[in-house]
Amino acid sequence: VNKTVKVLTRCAVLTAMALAISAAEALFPLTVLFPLPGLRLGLANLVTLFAIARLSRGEALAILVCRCFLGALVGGSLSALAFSLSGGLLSLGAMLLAQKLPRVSLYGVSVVGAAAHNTGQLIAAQAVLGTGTVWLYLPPLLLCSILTGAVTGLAATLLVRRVPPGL
Amino acid sequence: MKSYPAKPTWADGLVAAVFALIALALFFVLWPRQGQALTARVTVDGKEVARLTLAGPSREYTVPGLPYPLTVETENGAVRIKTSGCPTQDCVHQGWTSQAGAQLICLPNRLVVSLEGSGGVDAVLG
Repeated sequence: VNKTVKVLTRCAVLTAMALAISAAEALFPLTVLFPLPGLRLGLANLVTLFAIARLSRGEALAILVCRCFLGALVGGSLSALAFSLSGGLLSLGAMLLAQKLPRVSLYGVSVVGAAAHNTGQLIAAQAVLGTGTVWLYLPPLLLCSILTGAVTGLAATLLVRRVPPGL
Repeated sequence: MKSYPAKPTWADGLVAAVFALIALALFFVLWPRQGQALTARVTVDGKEVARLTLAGPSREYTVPGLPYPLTVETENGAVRIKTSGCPTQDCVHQGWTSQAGAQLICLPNRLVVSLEGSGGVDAVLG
């Protein structure tokens, strides 16, 4: 198969999967169990982790940006776009750095991504709400991101091992 | 292509421990220690629209002009967002709060309810 077509198709399928995961996750909000604004399991990060581990930086970025814009188009607003982009881009950047650390598995990379995602969302929240007091939520969100990041890291580890090479 | 360990390593534990330490340190720096709140300041888009007294029997306040209709309830020194028409309902799930310096947030409405004690805010961050 033509290489460009293959890359394009791969990115499109992964973008669609990330959108579907986000939509499914929204049906079971974690905030019902634990009332902390912005708390999510972040399973859509699974696709970004997969792209970092198996594909390239460029593809990971393309999938992420497409997911944010399409997600905002389908169900969100302009501020939803600001939130997902600021969280997503900071998370991707942090994960690309974390991945270079020695002896760190996808669990650790995922935790770094989750923590960076929460931080990025608070930056957007400060901009949207016009108040710096949102940073009060950072400590509990960081603690939660260790757990949610580990769950996503487990899923990503399984995914990267099971999906045959050459996809 | 880099291959990753199948199980969490000590390095992952170290990463988690670093974030836990950062969270604890920030918790002690940021968390308000001001006791009971006396008033709730309701802001939309960073502009104050109402100031509610928390003491006394149950009172409801419907914030005007929001994209999603929202009602705040105050009772016996505590405040909650009672109902909201927003899609996420995160604000309603936050429940009651009475700690000065704490806040309730409804992002889709760009609304913040900040609780203030007698001394006003201790510090404004950012």
